[in-house]
Amino acid sequence: MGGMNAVERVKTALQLGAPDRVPMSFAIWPMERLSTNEHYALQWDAEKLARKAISIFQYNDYQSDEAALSYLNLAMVEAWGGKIDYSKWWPGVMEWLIKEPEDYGKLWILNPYKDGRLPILVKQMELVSKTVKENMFVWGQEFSPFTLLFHIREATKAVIDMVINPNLVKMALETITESTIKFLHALKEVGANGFRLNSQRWDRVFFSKEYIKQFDVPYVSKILKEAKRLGLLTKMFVELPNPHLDLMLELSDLNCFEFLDTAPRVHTNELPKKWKWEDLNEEDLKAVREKLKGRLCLGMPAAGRPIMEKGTPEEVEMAVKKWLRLIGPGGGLTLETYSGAGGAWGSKENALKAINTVYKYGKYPIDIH
Amino acid sequence: MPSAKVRDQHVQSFKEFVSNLDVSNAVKMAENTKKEGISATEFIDKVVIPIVEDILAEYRKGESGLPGPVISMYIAHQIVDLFRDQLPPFKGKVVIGTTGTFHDLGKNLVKEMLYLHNYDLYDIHSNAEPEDFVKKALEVDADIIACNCMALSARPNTAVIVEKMKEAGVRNRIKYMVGGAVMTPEWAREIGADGYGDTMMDAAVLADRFMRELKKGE
Repeated sequence: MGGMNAVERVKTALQLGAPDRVPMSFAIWPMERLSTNEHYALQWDAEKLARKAISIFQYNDYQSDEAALSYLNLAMVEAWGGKIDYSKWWPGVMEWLIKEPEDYGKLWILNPYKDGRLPILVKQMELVSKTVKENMFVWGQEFSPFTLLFHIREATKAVIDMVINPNLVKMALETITESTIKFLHALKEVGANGFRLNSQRWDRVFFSKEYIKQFDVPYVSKILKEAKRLGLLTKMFVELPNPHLDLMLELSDLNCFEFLDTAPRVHTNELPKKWKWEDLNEEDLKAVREKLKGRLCLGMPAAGRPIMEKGTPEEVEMAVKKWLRLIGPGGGLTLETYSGAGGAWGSKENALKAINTVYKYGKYPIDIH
Repeated sequence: MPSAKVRDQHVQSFKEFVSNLDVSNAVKMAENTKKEGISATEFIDKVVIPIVEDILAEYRKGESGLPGPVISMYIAHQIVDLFRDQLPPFKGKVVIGTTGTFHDLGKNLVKEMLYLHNYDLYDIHSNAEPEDFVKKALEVDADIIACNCMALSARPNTAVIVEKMKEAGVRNRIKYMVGGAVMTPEWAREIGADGYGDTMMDAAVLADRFMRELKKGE
């Protein structure tokens, strides 16, 4: 199969097929700089935001197959009146929106055309989609409701609420979910190809399955179902190792499981605990691939962080070829540079080497020895 | 004076309420036990701390989720407040915070663990800059700085804290412990921290050791 544009390529992979080659993207990480220290001043300017996003996902002659907008953007929290500090590398909550359990009732279903900066983000999506057309698969994204909960209520108190006032927490999660659904409707209307839910590892590895089933899965399912009904493809970003992969496999409206890193020490972990800040372990990756086979597309870095950060371009090429050989055949795979060309982590040289290696060796059928 | 048997029964009930994360009944049972004359030391050291440790051990083994540690520490805090009138003065002052990100759940649990071990805590919350730790430590005349770090990108901040302590001339007077997802014993040694804690219990053990060392140095 040849001559696919980026949207066709990514769609084919997300639907578990083999496109002309493995989709290769400049990851999401560069976008964090749009929501944090470097570019937070652009937050109110949709045109500048769109231009910046496009410039990040296009680098000289290179073009990312996917673009994910608004990463690490707490626009929904701000729209409810939350105060976020974007002046540092990672956005910080300056003042918790929910100070007492009764404050959960103060949330309302957000209007993406009116509340806070949400209209700016919708406009950004419109401008990016119009510009890149079929040359880039554009994801709208938001944190999962369970993850957002920990941006409006101090974590320890949120956990206490889950035990003591579960219905109040569920009421808030319902409002967050409905707001997210309104947001994804607006993004779809202006050209988004897919919707990506970002669920942070800290929230997931800390909780037993019972809690995830009660406080996370129902709301994620509702969002994914609505996205699918609208014709959007779906992706969830959850770090590995993760004890709840089985629950993800039960999400019938999910197309792709994406991870960008190995996680540091975790204690409730079904995968080997030797996974620290090491490169991806071959055996573990094969196990995850096997588990997801025929069910979910796998989205992941073309090489692990240590190699992208500290390796030579030759080592990057070897690492990318290794993953392609191991998990590339058959399709259902999207790859990303770790940091993007010129991104925060890893050198530009290494990012470009990873991209070129996928372009050269990631053509289907993949045949690497 | 109630019999030891009645008191034992109350202690047993208290343990069951904590295990079931039943906050209100656990606190009520602690109040009843206090009325029966149990001492703060006996109740906190021999009942509350061991049961909290059991719950933490279950969590670390992957046998339970986070609500167990969080709720047990929440109960423990209320028990310490309940027995405050009987407790000796605080062992020392600790400035605690998370640098680099807003992920401070672990820091909050360490804070509660140190409170349970009778430390006076000064929380500078999350996303704290290195100078915030030292500024607060000077302001409250702290004995210990405890820094949590959850992001690799923020890890250099934990080294800057040492530099800021040196600049302020308090490196020998204030002890410094580090912990969090991206911290390691090797890194702690490399930056010149006084100790690294992998668990909440480690933090309490380290704090006690630090206080002994500070007293010796007086």
